[in-house]
Amino acid sequence: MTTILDDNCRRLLRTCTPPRLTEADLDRALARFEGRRRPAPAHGRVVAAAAAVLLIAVLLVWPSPPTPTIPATQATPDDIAQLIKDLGAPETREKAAARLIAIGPPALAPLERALYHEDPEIRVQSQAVAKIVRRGHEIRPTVDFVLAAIKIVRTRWSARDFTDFDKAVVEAFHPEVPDQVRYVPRRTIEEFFDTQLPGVKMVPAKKDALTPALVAALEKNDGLVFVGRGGAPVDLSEIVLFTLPDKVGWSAYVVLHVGGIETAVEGLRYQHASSEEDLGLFVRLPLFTPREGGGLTVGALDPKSPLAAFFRKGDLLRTLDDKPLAAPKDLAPMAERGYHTLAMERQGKPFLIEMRCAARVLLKLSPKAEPEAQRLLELADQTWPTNPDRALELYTDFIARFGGSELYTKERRAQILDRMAEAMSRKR
Amino acid sequence: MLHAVDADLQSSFRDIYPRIFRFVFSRTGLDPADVDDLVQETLAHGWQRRREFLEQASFETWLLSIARHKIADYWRSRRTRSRAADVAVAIDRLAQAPVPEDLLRTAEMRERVDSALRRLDDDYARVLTLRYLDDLPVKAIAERLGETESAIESRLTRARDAFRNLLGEPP
Repeated sequence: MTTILDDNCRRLLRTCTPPRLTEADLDRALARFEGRRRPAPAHGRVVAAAAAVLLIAVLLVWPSPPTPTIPATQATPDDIAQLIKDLGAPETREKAAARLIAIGPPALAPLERALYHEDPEIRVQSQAVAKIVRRGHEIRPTVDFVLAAIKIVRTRWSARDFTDFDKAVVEAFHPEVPDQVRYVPRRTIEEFFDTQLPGVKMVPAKKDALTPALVAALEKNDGLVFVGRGGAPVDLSEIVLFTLPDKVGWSAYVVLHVGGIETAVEGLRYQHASSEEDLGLFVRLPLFTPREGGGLTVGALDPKSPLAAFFRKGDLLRTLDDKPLAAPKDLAPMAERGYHTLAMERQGKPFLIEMRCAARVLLKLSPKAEPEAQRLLELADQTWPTNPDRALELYTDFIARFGGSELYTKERRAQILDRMAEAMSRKR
Repeated sequence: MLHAVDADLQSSFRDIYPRIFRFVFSRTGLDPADVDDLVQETLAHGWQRRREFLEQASFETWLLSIARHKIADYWRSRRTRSRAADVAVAIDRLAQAPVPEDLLRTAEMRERVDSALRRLDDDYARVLTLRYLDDLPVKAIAERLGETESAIESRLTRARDAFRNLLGEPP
């Protein structure tokens, strides 16, 4: 009996009495209270204030993704739950916020659920961090594009591999061509920032000046800052400021204006329209080599090809309508009428092409023209086995003159395009 | 006290915090980390409203009244059923059967233990604390208090009985 009473007394005293608070416990509680004693940040003001620079900094240290989707930094649900809890304490908040932003989309759902957390501090801070994560996910493809373009510029700068610097920058950023490039061959810190770009504060007396805030942001963000129209660092903007390296760091910077970036929160998009024939032929040509890790690499295009103006040798085609491209046949749907989205990379720069595959207008041939069209087609078919080059000319002539007619059926088109592709391949 | 909090938060805090912590702990079934959350909420609320403090009572009493509201909010949000009847049965059978683990973490049990310890004779409370919280063997307790082992053994027996009796009385 005594043993049971003895055991119960031990358990009651150990479980039902408050733990003894050590000096360290009191120090922690005091630090926590002092953090709360300050005015509560309105809607995560503290986190949001650092967000612009922090977001770019985090994006810069993430490894470049092999596909347009962003890989998650390794973190277990328990890790994420602990980090969210850490948002409630001032001494751990900044570190936890940075880590959650680095984790990215996998942290989003738990962060959104934290809106109902019992700690009001965590409710506010978690929603501020969730907002940054969402924004980071949206702008990531565009930031990747700019980073890759800047890497090309810096490489050429270090190798002195250019005669016209502005042209080198334009080439590096293609197809998002900057409409203004400003090279500043010295580093100056002044009160105002003058880009000589439209919409940005002009201070004629203090040209080429960087504010200390911009210099600090450049130092923190690997030499890249997006600048808002007021001249302050922001998370994404059409005004891009980046440094050029020298032996001791950087001594020159470039400011450029790339019009499409500010609105391109989900990646830079370009539009292109082609006919069924051009695209049909393009996807049939033996131009595409599957790349290890996914995607198709574009080979050398005939300069006369209508698509040569858009595609370049070395371009990497990633996905078509969100479906990964692993073999050349996966490109076939691009030649079907309608709109398609092609995700691709050029020299490491990811962007999207909204491709429109257009059909010719269907014509009703006149009684006089119909026999002529029929004869031309038969002649091309007959010539094909013995003289493919001549047949190619006849088919091209037929498409040019009667491509919109009822004679040019879907099956006929497929046959002709197959033969044209075969003939062109033989030539290559 | 209000001025003391304003002027020297650190020393006031170290004085006030453990008392409010104990108060909240003994009235909720919360883990220490969650108790700390409620205490922090109480102190932050008190700090924000410190100008409303009219000095009609002590600052600590005023904070404890805020803590009471916070505890009431906590219970309202949980809507848990009372375990008072279960606790009473367990205490009644304290010498016959182990107290169920889930009852050890109820606010009712904590409040009874807190109340019993406060009313317990100091000598009994001391030996119970040394034996069960500090986990000292009887011999070490005897050495520390300068008494014989048999005296400590017999005092422990009386202390356990007194503690059991006080637990049986509602706080």
